[in-house]
Amino acid sequence: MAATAGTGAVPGAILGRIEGVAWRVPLPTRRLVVVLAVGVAGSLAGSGIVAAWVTSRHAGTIAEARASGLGVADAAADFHTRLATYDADAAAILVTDGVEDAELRAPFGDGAYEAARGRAGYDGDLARAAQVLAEVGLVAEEADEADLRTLTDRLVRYTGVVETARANAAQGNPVAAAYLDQARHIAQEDLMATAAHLRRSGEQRVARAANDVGGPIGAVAVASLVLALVVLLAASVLVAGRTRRLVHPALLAAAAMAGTALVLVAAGFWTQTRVLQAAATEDVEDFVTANETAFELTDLRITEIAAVVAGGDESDYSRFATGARRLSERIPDRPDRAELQRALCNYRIDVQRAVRGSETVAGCEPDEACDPDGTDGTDGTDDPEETDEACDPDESFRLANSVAVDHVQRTTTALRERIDAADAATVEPGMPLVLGLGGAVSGAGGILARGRRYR
Amino acid sequence: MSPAVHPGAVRRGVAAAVLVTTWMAGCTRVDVPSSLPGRGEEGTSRRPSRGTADCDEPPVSLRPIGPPGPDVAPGTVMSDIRGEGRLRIGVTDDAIGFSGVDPTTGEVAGFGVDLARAVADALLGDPDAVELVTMTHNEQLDALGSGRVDLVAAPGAVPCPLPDDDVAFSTPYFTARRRMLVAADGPIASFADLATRTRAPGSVEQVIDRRVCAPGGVATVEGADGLPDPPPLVVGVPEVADCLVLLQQGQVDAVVADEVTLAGLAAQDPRLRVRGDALGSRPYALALPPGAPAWVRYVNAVLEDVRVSGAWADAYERWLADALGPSAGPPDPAYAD
Repeated sequence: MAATAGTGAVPGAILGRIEGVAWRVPLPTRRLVVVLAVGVAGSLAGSGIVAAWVTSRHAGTIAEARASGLGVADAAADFHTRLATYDADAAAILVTDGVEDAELRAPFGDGAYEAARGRAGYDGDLARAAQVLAEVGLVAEEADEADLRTLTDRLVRYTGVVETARANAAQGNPVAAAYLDQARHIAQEDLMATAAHLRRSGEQRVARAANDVGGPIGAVAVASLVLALVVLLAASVLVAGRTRRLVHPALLAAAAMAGTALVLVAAGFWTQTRVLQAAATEDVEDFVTANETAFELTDLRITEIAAVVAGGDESDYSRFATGARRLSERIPDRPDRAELQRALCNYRIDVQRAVRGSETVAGCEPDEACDPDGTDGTDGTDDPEETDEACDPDESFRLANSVAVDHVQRTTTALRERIDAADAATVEPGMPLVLGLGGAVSGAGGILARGRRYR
Repeated sequence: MSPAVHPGAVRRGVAAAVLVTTWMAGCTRVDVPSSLPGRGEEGTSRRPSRGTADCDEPPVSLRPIGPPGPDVAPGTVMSDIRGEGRLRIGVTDDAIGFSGVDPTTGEVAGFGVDLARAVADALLGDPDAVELVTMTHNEQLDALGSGRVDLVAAPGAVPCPLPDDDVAFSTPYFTARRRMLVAADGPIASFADLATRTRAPGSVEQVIDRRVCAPGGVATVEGADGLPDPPPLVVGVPEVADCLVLLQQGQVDAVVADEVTLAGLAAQDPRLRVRGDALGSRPYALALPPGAPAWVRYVNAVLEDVRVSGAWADAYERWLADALGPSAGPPDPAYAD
């Protein structure tokens, strides 16, 4: 066989060594060429398909983490907070005032949430809770169906019972308080418990997604691409040995395409793994603990309402005091820990002042920024350092809650940014597929072109 | 804002719980206060009637001395009240018709309040010279013992046996029968209709399960004589208003309680009616502070006047007749000198 130069002759010693290797394969040249062409095509096409499948799977996992993971958890937390706020407001207003001021009740309908922020329109929280429920239904998974059905059913029932309480309160019927109790029972036992379960489901999805994308399946795709490149190289060597010619342009093109796919996929997976593993170890935990704290704080509000507004007994206050102390102790080390603990202290002091007339709470100093009597500090009879703002458990809860909710939003944003970064590193699944299939065609074509003169 | 816990509050609280339990339990003679189901007991029961013994004799109080008037002996509760110029009356605000908030005025008013105002009228010459102090049943003993109120005019029967030290009572001014509250257009018209029974529509036997709500717990109803056999399922709830909720939601068929309580519930829903014969009765009396016999005699003298002057009948007609129907009149007093 002549060492004619297609793309150039190779040094005789190397070619001789390669030729020796090639002739050890016990197949006629024509059959060997066909087998190698099929092998190269199969490995390159297969690795491209595998890489495309894995990148597609990762993209789906990240999208799921964003929507049915983070989205559901965030929505469930929002629902919980809105409902707890509304429930506390409804109880406070209906129990203490009997009939709420017309201004306090914003109309339901378009824009109710935006139009009804704050005390002047507490129904906005309920409108927002219902809106959140509708939104989460669009991104939730089938596994969430039972929770969403429970939330929908109970929210309708809850709203109906509150309206019955409201109607009775408007007529001065004492049974209003009993309806309100029933509504609050539905809120606590059904709605908030289910929202907590839904939130945990979302958090688990985020954690699973982070672990999944950073896991071994990405390495399988990279390994398959490496293997395909090795197969292409080995086939090129064998063909060169039998034909005494090297580097067909089609083989070079196949190698270039397979190499490009390998670099793209490996780089994307590396970035995703690095980002999501960081999220799994740091951000998800922060997100969960921030949500837990916010949940416990709103649960405290429910207990406080029972102890203060609804005129509960000593056990209600004890439950509040114990819960508040434990929550304060369990706040994890985070930038706003001192601020939240301080806000929680003020809340505990204000509640104790309302229940017992005492402002001594172990580990907490009374807040001098408010006026315990709720009188104007400018009359000369009060402490000049005090403002005319009353020491109101309602206000102190809102302050503490805003700190907790701010932290939830910060952790949510941090987690969302991680997921966005991972999403940005996602390789378009079509790319490794096209490169793999293109490489397969090119590689097989190059090998067959080298062996076409053999019969 | 709740008051601080006083040293004697626990003891008074326990005494109040026993007293209220006895009131709500229909004056049973079961002498097991430590194990007697409390007012807050909830749950359901279908235990057969075990029979309870009511106090057959009306409770006795101190005999009045002379007609009531503004001339009172110094150093007595009456002189203290005259000195303050007002009578402090402990009331509940959830018993419409007896002592409930009138939605049109926002004031606590009713049959019991009118009788208490008669005391102010006799002592101070002005029925409006009163301070109405709203409180729960559990706070009443403490309020009397601490001197926060001069008398309590809340719906509640005289306990049996009478407690020794914590509270005194006037003569009974009302006999409250235990009846039932049902839907006006419903099938239940008497206690016999509450029997759980079976019927066979076609080939399938069907159990008609009657459910009765008992404010204060199942023990307040389940043992009462007069319930049908087989008895209905008794659902116990802590508060009277909870029974109204269950009845309005169709979760029970009837509420069994004192007719005064039922009248207060019926006033909140025009679709409900007080029906049924008496399932026992209990005397109501004004609760007075302990250790003030002259005050008890004075209040009894006022009640005597109220009975004979027609004021009692007027108050009944004004507040309770619509819900409860014609009255047999006030109960006769029984005195122990």
